[in-house]
Amino acid sequence: MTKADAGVRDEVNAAVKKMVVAESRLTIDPATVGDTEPLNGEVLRVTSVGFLSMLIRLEDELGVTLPDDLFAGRSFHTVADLVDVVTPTCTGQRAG
Amino acid sequence: MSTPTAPEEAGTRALSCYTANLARYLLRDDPDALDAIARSVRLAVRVDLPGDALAVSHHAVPLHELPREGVLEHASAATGESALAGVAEEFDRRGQVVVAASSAALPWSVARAEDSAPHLLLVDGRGRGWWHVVDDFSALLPQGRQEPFEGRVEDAALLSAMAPVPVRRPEHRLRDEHLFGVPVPPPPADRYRWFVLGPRGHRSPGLPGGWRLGADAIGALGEFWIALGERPGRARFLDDVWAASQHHTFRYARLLHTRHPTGQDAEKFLAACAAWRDLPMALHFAVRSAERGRSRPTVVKATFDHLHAVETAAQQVIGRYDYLCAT
Repeated sequence: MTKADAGVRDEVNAAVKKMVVAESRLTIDPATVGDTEPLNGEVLRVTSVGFLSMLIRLEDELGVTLPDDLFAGRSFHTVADLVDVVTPTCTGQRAG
Repeated sequence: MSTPTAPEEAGTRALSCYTANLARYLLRDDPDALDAIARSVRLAVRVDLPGDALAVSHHAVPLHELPREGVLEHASAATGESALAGVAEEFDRRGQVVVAASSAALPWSVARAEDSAPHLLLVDGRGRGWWHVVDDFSALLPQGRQEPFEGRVEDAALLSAMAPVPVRRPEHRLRDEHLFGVPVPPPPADRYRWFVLGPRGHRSPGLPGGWRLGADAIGALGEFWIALGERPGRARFLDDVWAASQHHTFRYARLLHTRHPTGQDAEKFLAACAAWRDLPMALHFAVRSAERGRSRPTVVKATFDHLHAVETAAQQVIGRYDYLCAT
């Protein structure tokens, strides 16, 4: 990963955390949310309905197009899972 | 979001609004009802209907043909008074009755009037001016979480729930007609409706021509949704796909928790279960993308290609567990 790509990932990471905190109706600092925090667990409470809304907002706010295989066998359990799928769309890489 | 199936996802509350309460009805006299439903879940679709409509059949073994007791048949009445009398008569004969209702008319429903859809309720008790009603339907809906209900309602509330709708939408009529898994035309929409258990008659001949089954049905359904960008009205059938997703997820959850498959078989069932679970979200994403002018047919195609692959893999081994092999 290049330095520029790492910077993009940090930006996406921050945007995703801000969004999951808002979606969970929390008032905590998004930066305190760990990358491995479950999207629907003790801290975050992102429902499937909320998750869908987040995907739409991520596309709009980051100006990206999420990959075609978004729902083709991927698992979204943690914050990092979501960051992993969004970051390549910002850096021109293919999401793995 | 894909998560492993949990044991509680293999009960009546994991089913669609029709099947959840039909299952409760069947369970009273048939302890095997849930497994019987799970074993016969299927996907059959018609995409060649007038009005760009979609019809879905979810059950290979018709749910209204009870193993021993008889056949559930439609009953209807033009007035509320006649409807209450008819429901009471069936209750007194059988001790339980399934009645047709509208989701938004239920006092415990989160559905808005514009989202109202046909619904079934189980009436399993009654007294002077009141009825004991069971609604096992449970789901996270865009309007909020729909919790199950079990309790007493008065005559007026039951009649309000059962009240005929002024106009039955074509998609609701198709859903009503195929709720048992085979075509059973419902009474006119302007009547109160419930079901009576009639004598055992001829077995249903099954689906007529024009239906696509198994892997072919997944392909046909995929093509139907890939064209969403040009045909945005197809979004009115999202609930039918949601029901298919619920039934298939239920099937795999039931299989996993009752037959305890291991190794590659278990992995195949888990993968198919996750793909079915994610399907409604993918289509909602496609619908909302199209509404924003960002039609995503390639997302729909990739989703259905994946579903086709994992469902085919699961079907190759599901027969070992006495489950219907639909391919």
